[in-house]
Amino acid sequence: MSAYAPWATTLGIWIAAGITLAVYSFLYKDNPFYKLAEHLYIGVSTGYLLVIAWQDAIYPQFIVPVFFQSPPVYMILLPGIMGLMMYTRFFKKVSWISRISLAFVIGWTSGVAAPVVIQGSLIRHMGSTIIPLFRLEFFSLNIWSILFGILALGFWAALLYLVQKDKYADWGTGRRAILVSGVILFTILFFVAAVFFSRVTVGDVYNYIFRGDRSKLDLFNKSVDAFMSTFYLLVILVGVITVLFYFFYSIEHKKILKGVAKTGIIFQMLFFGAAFGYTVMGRVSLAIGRMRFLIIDWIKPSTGFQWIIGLGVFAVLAVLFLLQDRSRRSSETE
Amino acid sequence: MLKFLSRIDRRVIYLLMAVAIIIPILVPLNLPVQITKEVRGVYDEIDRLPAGSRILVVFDYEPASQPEVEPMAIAVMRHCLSKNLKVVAISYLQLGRGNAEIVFNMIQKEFEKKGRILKYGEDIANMGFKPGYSAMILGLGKDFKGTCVTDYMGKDVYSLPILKDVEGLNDFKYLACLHDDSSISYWILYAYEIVGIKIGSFCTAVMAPGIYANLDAGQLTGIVGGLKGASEYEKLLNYRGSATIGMDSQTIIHMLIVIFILIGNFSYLLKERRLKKEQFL
Repeated sequence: MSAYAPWATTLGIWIAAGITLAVYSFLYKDNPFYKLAEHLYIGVSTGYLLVIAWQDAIYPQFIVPVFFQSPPVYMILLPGIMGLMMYTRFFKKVSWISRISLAFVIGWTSGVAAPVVIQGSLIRHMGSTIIPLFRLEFFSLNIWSILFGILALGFWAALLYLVQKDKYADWGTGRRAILVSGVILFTILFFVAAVFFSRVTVGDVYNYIFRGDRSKLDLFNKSVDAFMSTFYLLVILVGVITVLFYFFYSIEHKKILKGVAKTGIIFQMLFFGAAFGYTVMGRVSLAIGRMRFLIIDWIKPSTGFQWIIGLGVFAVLAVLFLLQDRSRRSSETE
Repeated sequence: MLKFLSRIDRRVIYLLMAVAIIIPILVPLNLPVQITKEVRGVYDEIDRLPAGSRILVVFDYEPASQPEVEPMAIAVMRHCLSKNLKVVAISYLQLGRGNAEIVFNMIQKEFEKKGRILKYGEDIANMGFKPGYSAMILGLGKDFKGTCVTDYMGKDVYSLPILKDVEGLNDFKYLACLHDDSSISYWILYAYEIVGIKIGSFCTAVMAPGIYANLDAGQLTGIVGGLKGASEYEKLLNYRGSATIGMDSQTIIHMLIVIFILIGNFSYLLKERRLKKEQFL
């Protein structure tokens, strides 16, 4: 592993700090310092990428096996020539030659990728979506669970009937929203109660009330776990179906189908919201990183001598930019 | 009020943001960090590995993402090397190779101060930049050394003791992918699906929401997403690194952004109301 001389590190920090400030100066308005940083970035990164490509790929993986290895590996000449063929795009008359290499790359990639993508993306993700809604280890069948299950189903059937018949069309959105949320709330309560009561006996309740035996209390947590796992799966189920339906244009999105498509939009918006939040976090992290660099790596350890030289360079550049700007303006007026 | 809000210069917002970032850096707030199961999934998997196991750390991020991903790289390297795991770095981005070098230098110096010399080629190794995307990963899966040929210094990989007995990717116990793009999908498809190596994602916050589907599908053991994920990993390792310190600024900035959004919406509603009133009159 290589280490750098202290003077080189200091110089690097000052250049990096100067370029950082030059880029940030764009927030005020466009200026020559920003332009200088922009051009430096493109030039330096292109040069650096070329050197790395040569050092890590072209030289050890192409030049050495063909020219310096014994026995030489001439097979590598073939991909090398195909790579060079790509550059024929710069010459109009022979640009068709580049299509041969391109066709090879596309063909090879498609052939290799197709089965893996079907397995790793399509089937694997479908598999993680199609899973049982109810985790059976939380449930046991008894009179309570059956009763509560029937009641919950009854509520949902009633809701579907009301929506289908559009009986309460004159109710207005607010009152209908209350009806829907009421039914959902009852279902949740019945669900939790069904799991809870399916595991608790009358004796457990007696022991809890009169003897203070709280050992069965964890059953409540279990019922919450069971409910939450089913709830998440329901969210995924509804999300997948409604979002897919939103992009299904063979049927006109009206009446109840309009609601389904709208639900799909809500799910998409939820994803975009989460993605936006994460993006803000990412961008802020970069700003934090730069500020930490400016404060901790640049301002704190810098000496007075370094500041004099740094500000001197800044002043010289500013004068040069001013002179350049003046000559440009005078040539424009002429 | 509406006039005042609409006249606020955007540069005032930039200034407020800069102040909100700088103050917590100078005066740390030490806000608590909660560990999520996504980060624990990665930590536990690495923590479980027996000493001497090889781990492949993929440096697929560019310097532009350094403030976000480097704290994760440092944390995962500290974790692996403190557990005496052998770390091999590789990158399929040209600029990722330099990032690996920076982190390796930092970690080597840190361990040297503690009295442990990390030997290059025995404890750690950097394969450098290897081009080819899917072809490269498929090659690594079957013939790791034959695909790498040389390390980042041009040294023959067959001479590195760390790669002794290594044939393919299945000789590595875990793959920690530090990435700022969708390169993880290549590793998932060609390394996890074909070879079966376990993968943990250390990604920028922008990438995180899209990878949750892979986590749910069991293709990843966990996700360390953005600065928040890095701070959680630092907490699991019991130290306050740059990510944990940065989370103070992150929290203040997010509060500030929420206030800005509220102000923006408030002024929009005021404007709408005024327009409606004018139309009515």
